[in-house]
Amino acid sequence: MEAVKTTFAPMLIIKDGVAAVEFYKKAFGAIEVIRFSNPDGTIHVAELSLDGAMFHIRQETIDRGDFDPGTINGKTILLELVVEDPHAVQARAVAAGGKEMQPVTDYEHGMRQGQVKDPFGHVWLIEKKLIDHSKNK
Amino acid sequence: MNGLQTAIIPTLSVRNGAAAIEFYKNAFGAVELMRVEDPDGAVVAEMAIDGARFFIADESPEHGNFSPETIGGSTTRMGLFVDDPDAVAKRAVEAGAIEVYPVADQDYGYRLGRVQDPYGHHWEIAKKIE
Repeated sequence: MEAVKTTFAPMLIIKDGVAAVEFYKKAFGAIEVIRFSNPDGTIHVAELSLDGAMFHIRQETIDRGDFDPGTINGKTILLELVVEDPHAVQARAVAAGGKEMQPVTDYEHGMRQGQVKDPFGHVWLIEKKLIDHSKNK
Repeated sequence: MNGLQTAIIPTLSVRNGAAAIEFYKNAFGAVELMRVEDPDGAVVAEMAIDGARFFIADESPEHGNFSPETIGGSTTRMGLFVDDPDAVAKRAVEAGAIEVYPVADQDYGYRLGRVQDPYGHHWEIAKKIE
């Protein structure tokens, strides 16, 4: 059996998971893989796939230290989204309701990068390496 | 042209980034790819666990980047999918992470356990078993 390739799949804490799933579908073209709902219809956990990159969203549970970014007005983890076309991905995210924090820009250090805060307060750096420094060594 | 493989790369805000880098090396066998240090000692480092890249950065509350220690919790958990979650969780605990719950087969189709690292980040170490 082939070994599993090590990958990160961040779990984003969100107050309104139902709205979040819809947003990530519209903004990033995410696919909902599975959803576990609470009896009241709110989302407990959902697994999403973004062009093959897995992530999860989970309902905020303040007494367990799982905070929606809006609750603390900040975040403990930033999310970088590496994509083939940062301009197109950022434009779509902003059109879906994300707030552009930085336009997509080509930086001298070899990164094409933009920044969007989603409606739930999670911040995404949408980027692509223009220069692969590892190949210059 | 082959398209770039879409990937999500987390950046963890921590207090004492320099120590955190050493912890993640010991706990997860992470390698340090790059480190930038400010004159005041704050670091940003690019690391990889078995090829999966992530970043460590000293917290900057003025930019809304908080260490879990500062807010008493977190806004994102680190899901880490690996071939052998039992071995990965065991090594992390030996390096100083706290076991939140042990690795076990979960009814939602993952073999998964959770640890809290010394900087307050929670790691769900998992493998799909369905």
